[in-house]
Amino acid sequence: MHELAIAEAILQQVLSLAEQHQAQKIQEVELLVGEMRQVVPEALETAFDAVTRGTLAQGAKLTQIHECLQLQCRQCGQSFPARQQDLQCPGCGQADVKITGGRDIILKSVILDREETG
Amino acid sequence: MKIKVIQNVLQTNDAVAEQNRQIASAKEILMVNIMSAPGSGKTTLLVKTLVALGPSRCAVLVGDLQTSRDAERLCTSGAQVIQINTGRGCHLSASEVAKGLEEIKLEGLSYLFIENVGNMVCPASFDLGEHRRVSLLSMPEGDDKVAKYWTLFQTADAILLSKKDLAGILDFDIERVKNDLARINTRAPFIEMSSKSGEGFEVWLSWLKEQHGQMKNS
Repeated sequence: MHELAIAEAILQQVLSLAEQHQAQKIQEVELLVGEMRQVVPEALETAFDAVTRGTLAQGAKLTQIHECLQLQCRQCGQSFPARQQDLQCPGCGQADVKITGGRDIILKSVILDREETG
Repeated sequence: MKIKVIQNVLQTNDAVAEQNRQIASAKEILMVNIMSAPGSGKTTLLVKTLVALGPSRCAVLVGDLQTSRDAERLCTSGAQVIQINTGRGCHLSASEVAKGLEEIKLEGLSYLFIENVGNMVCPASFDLGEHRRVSLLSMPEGDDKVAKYWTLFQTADAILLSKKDLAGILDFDIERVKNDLARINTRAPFIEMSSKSGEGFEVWLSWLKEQHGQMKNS
């Protein structure tokens, strides 16, 4: 399942951030999950739990915010939201679109525990 | 401490994919990522394609969880073939393609085909550095797959209906497939093909040659 590859990519990024900020623990990871990626939230949650075991991110809360597909017609330029499995432009009827939103998975924020130095 | 990030989770894969693309573009090699369910006919089509285009001008990176059976079949064409075994991985990644590119002699090539792992979901999500994506649907799979696995077909630059020689035997409604495609992708040509009978093969070759020309001129 591709959720495993995605979880591994998330882990690499948050561990890198933790190292940059000298954090002792990663408490929470907030994601914006684009509809295009067809991520099953429960599968990503399970994959994330699995890959973070034994790391600073073990036990971190994973928050997934769904981002709907936003499209722009390449033929007439109209922007519109996708309807389920229907990407036809309401203006010209073509299904030749550029995806302007909901295409990617974005790491929005992380909450880190860091010992405060005096 | 809350840190605002705003970073593409797949940026590492995408950066490697862009490097792959630039390596191929610099040598004027059209890289084509071919995706479908297992058993749709990717390997059979590729063997014929490699022979028709000229094996010395072509190379293939073929992804499977296990075995080198597809690579063995593709090697009969005389083209360079690299097998990538992903183990548990259900799709190829850009870094796996990058490693494959290192093993290929790129001089003199015009086409590099990537036969992705047979899977109608995961491969659609990963940029490998291809110039063009091709998705196959075979007749035995049924005529509802475009609607069910729409991301595989929405991202395609060409869509092939394979095993068309079974049309008289199977209950397969081609118009249903065309109607579903009209809702998700009117950009990609829909080519009805049979590797057995040869139907549609010249159309497929013409499309490849046209795409190669476009890539060179872009």
